Amino acid sequence: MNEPFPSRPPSFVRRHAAADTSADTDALVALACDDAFWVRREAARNSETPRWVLNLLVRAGADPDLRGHSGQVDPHLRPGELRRLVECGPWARDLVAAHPNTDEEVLALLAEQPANKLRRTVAAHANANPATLSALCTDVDPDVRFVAANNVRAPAHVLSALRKIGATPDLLTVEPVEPPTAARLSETAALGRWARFLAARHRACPPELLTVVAADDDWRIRSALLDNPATPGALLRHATAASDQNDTECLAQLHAEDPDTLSLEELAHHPSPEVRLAVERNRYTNSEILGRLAADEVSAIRRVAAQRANADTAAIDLLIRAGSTPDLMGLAKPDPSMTSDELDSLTRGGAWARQLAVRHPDTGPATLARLMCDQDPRMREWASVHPSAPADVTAEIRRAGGAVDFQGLAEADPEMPESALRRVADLGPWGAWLVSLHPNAPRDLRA
Amino acid sequence: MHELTIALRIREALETEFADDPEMFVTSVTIQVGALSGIVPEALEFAWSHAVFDCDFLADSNLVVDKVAATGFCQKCRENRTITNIQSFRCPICRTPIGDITGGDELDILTVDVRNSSDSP
Repeated sequence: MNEPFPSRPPSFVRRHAAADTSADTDALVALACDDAFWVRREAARNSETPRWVLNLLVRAGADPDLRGHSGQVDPHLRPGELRRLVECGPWARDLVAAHPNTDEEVLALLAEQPANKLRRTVAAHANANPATLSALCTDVDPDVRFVAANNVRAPAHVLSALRKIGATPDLLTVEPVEPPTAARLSETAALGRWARFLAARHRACPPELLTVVAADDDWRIRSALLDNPATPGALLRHATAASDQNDTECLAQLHAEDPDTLSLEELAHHPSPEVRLAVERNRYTNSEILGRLAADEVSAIRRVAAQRANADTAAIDLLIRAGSTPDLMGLAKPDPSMTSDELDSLTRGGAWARQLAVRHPDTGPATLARLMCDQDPRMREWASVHPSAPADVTAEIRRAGGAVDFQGLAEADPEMPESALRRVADLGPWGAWLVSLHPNAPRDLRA
Repeated sequence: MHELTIALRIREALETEFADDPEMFVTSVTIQVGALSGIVPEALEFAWSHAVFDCDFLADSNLVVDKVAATGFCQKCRENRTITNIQSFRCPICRTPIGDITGGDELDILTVDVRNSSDSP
């Protein structure tokens, strides 16, 4: 059997290697700069780890145990010393990217690394030169673009060119603009990958540029072709061939000039996030569908829903009050004045809305009882540990055959009366499923 | 679906690591989560507050999730590629199925930032 990750052993193996005093010096240097904290900590404790690397890491901002950041950096660390650290390992590169003395050459090198977090740090650096920032303004990762656009050294002509072909001022997403000319599209597309994405969305995009975008290795870039009604069918099929057949058909349907509302509604429930994202970006998608997608389980889909001009603001406001950040990407402090009806309405929404409802401290027992029989095992588990979870309902679900952690099946109570089984079945899909397996289940609930 | 259990395991790992440092309070924990790790980052962030609320040195900590894309080696291109669609393990350039997965299963604690109890929070 092939080793699944031949290039790098897992961190517990690296941790043992870092504690080995007979290990090779170069290996110990690399392990002191490993990305996993317990590997670094063992290397810091190993008496054979070269002192120079430990010293440089601490001066670059690591704490002496190499667990995390000390909050202090040595302002006298020279660019040459920082450059030496870059070669040592990923954790060292993180520290170098954040150090104020890192020069523009090293930052340009770090800006080409695959780790998004590292590129974000470079994009925020005061020494990053305009050429590096120009490349980062057209990065595939929206957070990197956002940080680069907010750097004071970001070249104004690049930001302006991107806006003219459809980028929002924060470079997070797209907005409608006056149709640009083919010359302007070609000129701006040369700035980078995301610039090519922006250019490929327009009717006037030159065919050779569409071909380049169709061959991009990132689906998010290739998806620009779906937004362009002038994309030739053959190119579209090539661009979407990476998805499975069903996804490809759905994406082709979305590319139609005027997909009907019914098909958009159906596709908004499609299991593939790529298809749901394409529905969201479709110009014919109405605010009701966008409201549903604002509670999608995938954060990137929620963010796009929050940014669309015709977004369902009432639905988004409700999510924000329930404890979502305004960009719908993460968690914030929930509004304590939410009513029980509002919290209850969240349980009829998407995974994100239900997650917020189950997290809210004021969610009532009746709502939690329904969430304990949600189709999503995570909701069930969280609802069951909520301080207001009704103990009698919890006990009844377990008697019907629900496991203690609400994730799977356990032994059911064969004496459970029919009335109690009906109550559990009425709570939600998981409750109905449990009851259908119960030996005393009435005939109509076995179906 | 096991993010709460995973959050509790991370707590246990940190309790072991910090058993000798009773004066330390953790301010931030950064976790690396691969696209193939079977973990939903948002669910892990959500589970974190439930997992640490009764643990003195972790209760005020912030969990930061660093997401890592799945990567695989394409035998046809002889290149390491980022797999952008994990429903379809194919090279994004030549569409050849990828069998050698080289990254994306990560679940590691990257950094643990601490403050001493004598420091002001």
